[in-house]
Amino acid sequence: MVVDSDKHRRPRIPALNIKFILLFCLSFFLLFSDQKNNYVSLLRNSVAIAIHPIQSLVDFPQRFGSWINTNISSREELIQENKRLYDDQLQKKLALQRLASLEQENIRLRKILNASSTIKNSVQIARIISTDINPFRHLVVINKGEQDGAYNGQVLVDSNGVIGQILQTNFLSAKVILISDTDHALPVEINRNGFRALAQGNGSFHSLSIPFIPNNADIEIGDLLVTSGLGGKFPNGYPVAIIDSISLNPTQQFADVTAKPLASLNQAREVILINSN
Amino acid sequence: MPSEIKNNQNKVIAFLAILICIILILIPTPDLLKIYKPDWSLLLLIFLAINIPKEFNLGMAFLVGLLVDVSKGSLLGQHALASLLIIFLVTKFHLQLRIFPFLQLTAVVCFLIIIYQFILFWINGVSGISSSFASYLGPIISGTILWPIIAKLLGQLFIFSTTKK
Repeated sequence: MVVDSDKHRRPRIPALNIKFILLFCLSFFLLFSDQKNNYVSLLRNSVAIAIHPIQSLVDFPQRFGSWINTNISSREELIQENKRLYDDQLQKKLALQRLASLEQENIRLRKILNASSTIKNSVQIARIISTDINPFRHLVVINKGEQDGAYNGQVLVDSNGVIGQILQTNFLSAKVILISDTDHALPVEINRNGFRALAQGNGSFHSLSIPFIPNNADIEIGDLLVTSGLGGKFPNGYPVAIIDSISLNPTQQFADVTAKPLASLNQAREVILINSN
Repeated sequence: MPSEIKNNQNKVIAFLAILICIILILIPTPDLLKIYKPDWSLLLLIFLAINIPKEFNLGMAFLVGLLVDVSKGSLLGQHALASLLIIFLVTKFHLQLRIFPFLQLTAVVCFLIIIYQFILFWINGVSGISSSFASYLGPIISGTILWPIIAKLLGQLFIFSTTKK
């Protein structure tokens, strides 16, 4: 017979009901204060710091894999890659030469127009450390937090286009909402003619819906959508998506337009944080 | 075995299990299996509440719920509230649940996961997060299928004072 069998014969768990009621009220309080305002961000932050090592642990195999990859690639591959990168860089340099003069010209013209002359933004590279944290949303976690100067509403791009914005910063990491999330919309304009529109996420990584486009609007398949900067959150001029389908229905007031995001939303590992102030 | 050592060993195993739970939640899954990701933490908490309710009851459910909330990025308190409710029910009836036949217990667990998902759905609805019906159904199916395996596996790890069938 075991020593504490007597203890286990008693069915009662002490103060179960009272504990339940107290914790129930506490979680309701948390829910309301998290939904309405940011009172509990300190609690969330401290729990997030506790979870951060686990997140890094989960991310470790991927990092280890890429480390192996870089260390084991053969000499020939490296030479080839080096050559390709060199060519790439040459082309980029060429494009940059023109950009520098264009930028100068732009600043001069803006001065004439008395407009603000902010074109360059400082940037910071971040890495995505956790994806599909919530099946209902398109959220990812990056490895830059308040400590690195990330702030709520900061914009993320990859080498091709806009990815999303920071929803919540913790001390060491930040939660990012992608432009494909159903709760996300960003103001864009058509690069060709400056026609303003909204790009709304619809839960798919491969398409954004563009609502409220009149049937007679000047919009074509293949048009490039860039951020218009009108919402005040996104800096202007970053590419977002390309129009890939327009279906006109005469009985409806608006056309049914979708666009394909340029950034690879579900593949990117490295992202660029844009510092706009 | 002295009860103190037994309790300590159970506690260590439970904390390791919770750690593995969080890792399982954070690990990325392929798109195909995404909606079938089971509620690992809930299954673990149900097991603990049935078998060692003295050490792990409501407070633990609440804390693990908060951890899940933060790691999933959901509304703070959502999973905490849902698992609190389920674990309250389980702890209340843990002696009955212990003597249930295995199949019947699995049916009860399925029912509990349905309640859990319903609470999540409810809170999502109130706070204006819309999502497909399949994303609530997936965890119920996978959780029910996984429960017998998880229960058997965890049953091997923990030390119980009363001998089990």
